Amino acid sequence: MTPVLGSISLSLGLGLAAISIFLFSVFLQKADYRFFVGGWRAAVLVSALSILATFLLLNELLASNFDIRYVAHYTSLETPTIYKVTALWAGQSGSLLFWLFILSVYTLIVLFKYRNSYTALMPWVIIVLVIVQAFFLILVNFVENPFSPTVADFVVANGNGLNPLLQNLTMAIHPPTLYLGYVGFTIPFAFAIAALITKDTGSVWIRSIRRWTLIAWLFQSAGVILGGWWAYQELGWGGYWAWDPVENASFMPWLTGTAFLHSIIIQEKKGMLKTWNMILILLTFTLCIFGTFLTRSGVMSSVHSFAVSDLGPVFLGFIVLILVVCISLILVRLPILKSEKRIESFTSRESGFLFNNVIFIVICFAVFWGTIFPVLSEAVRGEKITVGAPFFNQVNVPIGLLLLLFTGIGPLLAWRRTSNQAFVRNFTLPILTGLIVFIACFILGIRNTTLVSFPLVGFVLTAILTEFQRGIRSRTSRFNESIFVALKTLISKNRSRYGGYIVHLGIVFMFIGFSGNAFDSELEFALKKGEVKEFDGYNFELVSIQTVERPNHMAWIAALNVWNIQHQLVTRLFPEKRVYFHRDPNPDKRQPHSELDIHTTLNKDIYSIFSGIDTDQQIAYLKIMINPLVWWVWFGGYVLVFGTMISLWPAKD
Amino acid sequence: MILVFTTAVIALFSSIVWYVTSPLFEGESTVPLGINQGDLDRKKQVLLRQIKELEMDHHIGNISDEDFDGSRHTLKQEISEIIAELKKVS
Repeated sequence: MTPVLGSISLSLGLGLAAISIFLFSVFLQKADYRFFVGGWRAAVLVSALSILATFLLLNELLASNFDIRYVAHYTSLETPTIYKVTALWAGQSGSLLFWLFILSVYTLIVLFKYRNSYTALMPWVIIVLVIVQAFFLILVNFVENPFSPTVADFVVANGNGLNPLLQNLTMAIHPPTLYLGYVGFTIPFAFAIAALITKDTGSVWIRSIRRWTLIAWLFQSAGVILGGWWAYQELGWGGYWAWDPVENASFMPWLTGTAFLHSIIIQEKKGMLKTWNMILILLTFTLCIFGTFLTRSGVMSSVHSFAVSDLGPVFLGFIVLILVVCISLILVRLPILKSEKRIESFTSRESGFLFNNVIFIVICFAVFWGTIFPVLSEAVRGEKITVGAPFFNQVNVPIGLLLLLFTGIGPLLAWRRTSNQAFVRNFTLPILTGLIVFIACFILGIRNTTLVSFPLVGFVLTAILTEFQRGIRSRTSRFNESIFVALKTLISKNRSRYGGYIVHLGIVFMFIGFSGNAFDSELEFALKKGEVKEFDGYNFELVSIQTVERPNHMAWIAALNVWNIQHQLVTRLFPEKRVYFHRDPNPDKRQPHSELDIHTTLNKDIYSIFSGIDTDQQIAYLKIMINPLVWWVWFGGYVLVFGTMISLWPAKD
Repeated sequence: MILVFTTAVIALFSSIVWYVTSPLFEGESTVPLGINQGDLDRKKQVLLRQIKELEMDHHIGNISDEDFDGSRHTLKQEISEIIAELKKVS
């Protein structure tokens, strides 16, 4: 009965979406508030039914009801409970339902929070949200129904089980976090469309969606970082970012979303960049849908190709529809989107923000081009030309460093124009710091990109700390506060600004981590029990190989002692070679998998992979990588999340 | 079992129809006054916050005296207009 109830919920949801849109249309024509209430209630039900359907599917996954095709395909009796939950977004139809679920939760919050406000905007905001919901409801009703029954002539006693790569705790957090980001951008998008339609394009709508954009951006950032963490922990190639199409798909809306968060400050303060802001938020949402399309259509070969389907044309159609509507609306409203002021000086904060925006867009375009080029080349010339990491690194590393530079320059510039006196006062210390770091790096013999990145890190860190120091000094002189109290009050009374600076600190720390890539080293070797291999200042000793059987896999565990050159034990590593579905009588269904072990310190990671085993000879085939400064990437991520949460925290009125 | 399930589905469907359509036959057809007031209050809060940020920028030297005076004057004027509108509404 539950699957039937699930299907009914989804069908009713779609019908109610149509009714809601109809009632709001009548309200907009007749200005009869009763139709607003009716439409609002229908919208509430669309969300409630979508949420109900999601919980029904979750219930079936936990109950291992293999009569449902989705449950049989992505879980088995041996699948641990946590991964039965994560199976909800492991496959095509489940993940589409999960998208709808998150959108429904967001929509419910909007519906109840703004029920009595934004009178002009709200009907259109709700219509846009319901249209997006309706699109996903069409997909789960007619294209990929998660409640479809299993087609078999026999009783299905057990399911296929979950892909081993997805049986990782990070995978329990990474996709929902990223989805919260992707879907979250629908709210500012809906407000943008509503503002365009109602011609209310001033700073009030921008203020109203700032928090929503930050929430989406926070989740998008955390999702991207967690994705990197998962790749680093699980995929076993020693890196955290491979410029994979699906990684790029999550990065592109992050870039435009970040640009938007910066440029709306200009609109709020100066009434400038109205058209630009509209373009950015519409582009961000379109890229979110494009990202879902890339992940779900299987059009690109990717490490994320967990699902391949024929959803592509439907998604492409929706993307084209969004673009046509958005571009038409912007063109029609161009006269009211004109800036109230102009940028007066090259050395103004406004131009700093504009440069930063241009850099974000250039990076986004480069990533977009590199991502879709293989598909375009195949469509036009019939041959698939792969665009790999070297292209993306060659293009994006210099632009990224330029972006880092502007992260430092921006806060040092004054609004409208920076006087010569202020220029010298603000820039002297950061430039001096950058120069000192450059000389130090040069003396230490560094000759790669870090010769540029480390001095820039020094410059930007000093610039940000200078900004804090100026704020503290202002408070201590005006209110006679101690430094600590001044810092606390400064942040709590200006959460948005100083939270933003903390986010910038996080980005700087991440750049320290990225710079470490230039010093990576690796070695593959075979070891017998008791043998030792020397590499990069360490001795690796294979102590033992243990065999362990667990509920859903069996594993060989290599115990490795790592000694430094002073013969002190640094750490013990336990990389594993696993075989999932090892009890399956069909050997083709057994899936090998290497589970890594990593020793992390502030300055380097020792990354061990158990890539193969000779069981007869008891030989372990190992790969060791020394990855400097990776810790800083994750630490920067924490700081970024912390800073965003400070920005988000409501200020006392 | 099927009968109970069918009855439950019909009950659910009827409740949904009632929940959505009942406001069309009762309630106010004009937009309640408080909603407009809420919008104006919100606009006022936004402008007050902008003034606060402007003062902060001025104190740490991110904006010149001339710009500060001009921008603050404009923002205060906008707030006065909103307060006047709020008075009219209430």
